[in-house]
Amino acid sequence: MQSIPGILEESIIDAKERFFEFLRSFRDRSGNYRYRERIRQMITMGQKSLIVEYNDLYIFDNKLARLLIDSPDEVLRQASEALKEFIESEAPEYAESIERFYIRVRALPRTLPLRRLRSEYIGKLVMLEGILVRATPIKEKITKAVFMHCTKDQGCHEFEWPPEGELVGELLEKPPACPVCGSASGTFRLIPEKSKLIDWQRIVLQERPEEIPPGQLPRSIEVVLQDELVDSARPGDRVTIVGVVRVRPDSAKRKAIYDLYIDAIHLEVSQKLLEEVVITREDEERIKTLARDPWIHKKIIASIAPAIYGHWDIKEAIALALFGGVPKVTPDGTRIRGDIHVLIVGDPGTAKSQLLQYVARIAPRGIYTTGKGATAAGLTAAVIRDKTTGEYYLEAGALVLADGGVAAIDEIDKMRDEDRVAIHEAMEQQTVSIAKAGIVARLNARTTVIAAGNPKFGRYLTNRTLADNINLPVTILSRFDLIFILKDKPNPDEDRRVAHHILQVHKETEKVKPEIEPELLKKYISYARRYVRPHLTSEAIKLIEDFYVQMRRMSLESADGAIPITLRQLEALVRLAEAHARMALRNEVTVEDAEAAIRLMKAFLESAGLDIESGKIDIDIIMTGKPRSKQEKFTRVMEIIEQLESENEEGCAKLRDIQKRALSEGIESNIVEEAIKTMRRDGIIYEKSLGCYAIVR
Amino acid sequence: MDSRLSIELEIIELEYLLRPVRTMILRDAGVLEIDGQRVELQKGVETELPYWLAKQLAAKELAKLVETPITLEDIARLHFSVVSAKTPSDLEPLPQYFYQEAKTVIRDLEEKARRELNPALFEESQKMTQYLIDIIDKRLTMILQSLRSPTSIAELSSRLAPEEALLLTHFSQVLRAWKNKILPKPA
Repeated sequence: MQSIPGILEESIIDAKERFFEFLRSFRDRSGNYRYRERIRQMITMGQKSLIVEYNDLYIFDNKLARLLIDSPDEVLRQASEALKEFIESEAPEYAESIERFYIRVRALPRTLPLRRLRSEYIGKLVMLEGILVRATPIKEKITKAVFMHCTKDQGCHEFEWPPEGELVGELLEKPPACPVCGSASGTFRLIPEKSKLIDWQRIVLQERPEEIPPGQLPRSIEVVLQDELVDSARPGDRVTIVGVVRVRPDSAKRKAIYDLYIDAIHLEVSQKLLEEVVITREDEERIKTLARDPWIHKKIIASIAPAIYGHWDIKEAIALALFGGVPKVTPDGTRIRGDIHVLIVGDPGTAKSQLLQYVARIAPRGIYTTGKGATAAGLTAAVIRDKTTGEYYLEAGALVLADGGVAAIDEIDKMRDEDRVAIHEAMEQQTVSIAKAGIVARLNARTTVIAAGNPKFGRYLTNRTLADNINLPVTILSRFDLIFILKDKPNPDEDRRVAHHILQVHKETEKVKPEIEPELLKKYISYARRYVRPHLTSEAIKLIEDFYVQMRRMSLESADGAIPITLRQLEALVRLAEAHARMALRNEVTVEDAEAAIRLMKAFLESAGLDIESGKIDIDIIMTGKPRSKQEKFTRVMEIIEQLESENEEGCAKLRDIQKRALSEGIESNIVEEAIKTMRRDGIIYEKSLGCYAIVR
Repeated sequence: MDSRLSIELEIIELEYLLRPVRTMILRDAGVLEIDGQRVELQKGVETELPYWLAKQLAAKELAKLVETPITLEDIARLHFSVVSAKTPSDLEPLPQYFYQEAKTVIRDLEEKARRELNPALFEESQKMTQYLIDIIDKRLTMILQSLRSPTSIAELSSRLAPEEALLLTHFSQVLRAWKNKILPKPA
């Protein structure tokens, strides 16, 4: 909007008066004096800021509201004075005790996309939305400096700088002359203790992943938070910021080049997860109609990456993970996650990455990343140092940025060592804790992890266990609710079908149409996650309970005592059943849902948890990396070493003797070697002399 | 007004009155038969009815519309975005049936203000009317500006309300006819 300077100045002159009138007389729909009440509340709570709805101001006086957008510094200064005057009449003592009151304007009618922030907005009030990706620790900034001026003739005297009515800006400059004596000579010394300081923090706001145009880098901008606004959001939070666009030199060398930054006047953390997917009334109708379809589960599963042939179980697992179970908080504050984590381990060329990319496209708040991660923060979070300013920042990683959504992590086996440690907490407790360089923080990471990894030896070796095949510690493996193995085995019939499907895709690309359009599916998932919270029915509970007990009973019946299922899988079953109910927008988990969860769990256990030696399901393969049968053999090897150690004069057991005695008990030499290697690594035994082992006591 | 334009505007109004709206039935009142269609008025049932019928039932306190009508806040927000537009390309589409709905809401508000003798409601309806006039003026200016080039017409037409699109088509037809009359015909 173009403004004529004269008119603008004239309007600014009475801004204070109009603002005072607004605070005094504005009434809401129910006839209440909204701001009088807010001011009273503000006084009671001892706050310095009054939150003003922009729309209220616009309805009261649209010229004043427009002036606020165009000349925010001046209008806000006058508004702050009007507020102080108002408070003086209500609570004079309180007004006197506070240096400056703030008017914090929220909810401007239009959000400016970060990508469109240009020089035309400098000095204007804007509203931006994005993810807070970095934050510095809180610092103190001088708003009014106190200098001591000393000269030979007149001695020393103190004065405030800058003069009355002005505040220190981005840079603190030495006064050109002393306002007390008028002399420019002598020494000027800053006295920080006597200066007025306010809390100050710098954060970085980044575009939301779903807003970034394909193939473009996310844009970000620095935001300065002051006073009551500091520490009101954490990295990973989705925030809406109202602030004034300002500039500062980008470096000392090139003085003509400036960077934009935002001086925030209001910050709001988006409370509702998934609220960014807009669902209209028409969408709601379509979603409800879809949910009534008896084949809805099949339709949804078939809509996941339709260009990829087969992999029905994996697609079902992905679909369930997208819907997720219901998170619960017990009265004692314990949080039970609702997110379903899925891992796909597979030979190269089995469409793992394609599946993950599709997941990121249809998941509300979906992020696709690789194990190495795109930023220094990687998958979890990191404390990094800014090269230009030297400041330490806390930067959020992919799992924190996808809080409330889905993180599709490709090549998870190649993640950084720091992430390997932090991901344990992120997957189970759903937080990321960090304590480095004086920054101690715990960030939310309520994220569903759908990951893929390559086998350690290039191809999946069927004669080795899952833990042997992937470069991931068992402690991480055990946190996945479902793990699937994709083996690329030649099979003429299957190969023909896959080849035919792929060639058809190439021939008639347009025919690969999902049953449900990706956009609608995204809305469907979002709707289900937002409004559907299924509860277990007693029939479903009984079915899951019976399955659990029956599986555990198998452990008693078998000679090696392999444990096929633990409480972790029981919780996973509940989540899977809840997700299955959510898929049909049902608020009750029925027997059908429980059956589907059990079927999928069995498929997972048979695929990933099968002990190749005994041919039985053994969850220890995932939980400890070794099947029960092997664990027993390891224990026996240790006992043999103990026996031989006491029999031998040297006080240790020779490898040849251990192997001989173990073989007599049916334990092969390679198992003995593996056991010795593992026990040495774990510090259970040590090599006392060459080829002779003893127990660590 | 041109009779054709007037008829077309009436058709838009009819479409607005006939559009289905979600309605909550508040009292059991038997079955209604309209144009061979049976509507069962059963308490607590949410159903879709033509807007005009839903309004009639709401006036008799038999039902209430589920959707919330446009408010002063909504119009103020639109006013902000319309008035901020500098060129036709800055113009944002209005919500569906905006003009019809705004007209109905202002009329209802004025009636209520008269009935209750409530000055606050009078003030609200006046503010709404003023915003509506500003919105119309600004959007009309843009429509007239766009008439200068066919590219602008194409650019703008997708963002116009049906009433505005009608006007734009009408104006461009009149201008074309006028130019045909004025300009010399090729030999």
